[in-house]
Amino acid sequence: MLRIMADIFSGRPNPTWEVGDESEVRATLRALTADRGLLTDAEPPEGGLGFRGFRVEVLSDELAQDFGLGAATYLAVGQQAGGPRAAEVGERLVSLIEPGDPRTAADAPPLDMPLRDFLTEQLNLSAALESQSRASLADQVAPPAEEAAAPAVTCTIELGAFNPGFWNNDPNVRLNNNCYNYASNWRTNTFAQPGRGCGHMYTSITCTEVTRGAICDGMHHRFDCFPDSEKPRYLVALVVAPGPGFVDYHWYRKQKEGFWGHKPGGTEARNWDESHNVITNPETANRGPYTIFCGYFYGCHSQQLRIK
Amino acid sequence: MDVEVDLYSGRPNPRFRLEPAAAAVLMHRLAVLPPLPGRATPRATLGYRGLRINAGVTESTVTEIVVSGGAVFVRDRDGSEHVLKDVDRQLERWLVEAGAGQLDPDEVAVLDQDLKS
Repeated sequence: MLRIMADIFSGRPNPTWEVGDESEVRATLRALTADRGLLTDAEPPEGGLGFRGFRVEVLSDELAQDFGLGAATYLAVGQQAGGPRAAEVGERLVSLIEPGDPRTAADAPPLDMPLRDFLTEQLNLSAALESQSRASLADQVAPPAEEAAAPAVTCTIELGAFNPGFWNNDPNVRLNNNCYNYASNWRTNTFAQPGRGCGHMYTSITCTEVTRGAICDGMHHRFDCFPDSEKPRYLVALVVAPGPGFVDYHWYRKQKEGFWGHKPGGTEARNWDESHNVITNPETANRGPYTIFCGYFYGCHSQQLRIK
Repeated sequence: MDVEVDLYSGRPNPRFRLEPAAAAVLMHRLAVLPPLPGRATPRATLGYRGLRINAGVTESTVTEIVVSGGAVFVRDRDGSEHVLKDVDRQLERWLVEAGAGQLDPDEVAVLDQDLKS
């Protein structure tokens, strides 16, 4: 078993979650130890404010020995990160939060989706700071000084009616528009790629990078509201197939009818998952090889116009 | 002829080219496939689905061929469509072997794994 603490707050207890599934634990430890330069025994003394890293405790002696770890190890993120892969590994740790898991410290935020989204967002911010600091050592940017609270906002959004014929009836439309087009509800006939429209397409297929591309195109993380002038503001979800071998991303969009629609590549738009069940929750739907749930986002009109 | 590997949802699909000699072999193989009785549709799963071949400008009447999960969907220039049986996915296997050198080894491994299942 693993116990993971996100080292992010300075006043409140940090969110902590546990992972019990043996195969998941081993896969996580493999990812964590693949680059030992990312790990330290304890948190760096100059950690600062904001998202500093993750403390990972291996709760089984045998497991710790198998992976050559002590009882606890520390993965720094942001400006103290040991390498560019730190945010990616951190994202994997965040994805292990089981919403509704009661095992959390008193006064710590509940383990739920808003927390997961919040940590992912903060991780992206830290990664951006890290890359800024690597790009220009003279241009030091301080992490946000104020301690952020878990999101508790309500955003007004729009939900489009499920209209598969718009995507499926013309073979040229079907073949040349992908899941990102569908999530954006915008036909470009270019197999749109996150970030291509804003000139900074993703550079690898990870939650962090594809998110970065989509945000660059104009999407927002969930709970980061758009004004009315940006209608339609769709709720979408991003998932990633991490490999090995098969590496790709995929998007879903919430429909007016309450279910979620999606369009796998050049195939038909649909509202059912790999088990042929109507998708009521993209987190629990059968997503085949797209096993990593990256989070929820809002699309908007500017983003529709920007995608390519 | 251009062959698109229908693999991804977000990323652009990988493609490879069949040189004229291989294209001729493909058309010969196609000509001897038996019809597939009943209704069939190409695979529509997340992940590897099949191969789509654009016949391009040739003397053949065929314009597009989709090879997917034991069936071959052929569309002619006059718009007519017919479905053939790809016994033991032999044609699909042959195509993957023909294009393997032009594809990423990881992608070839995904296709090989699917063809074994």
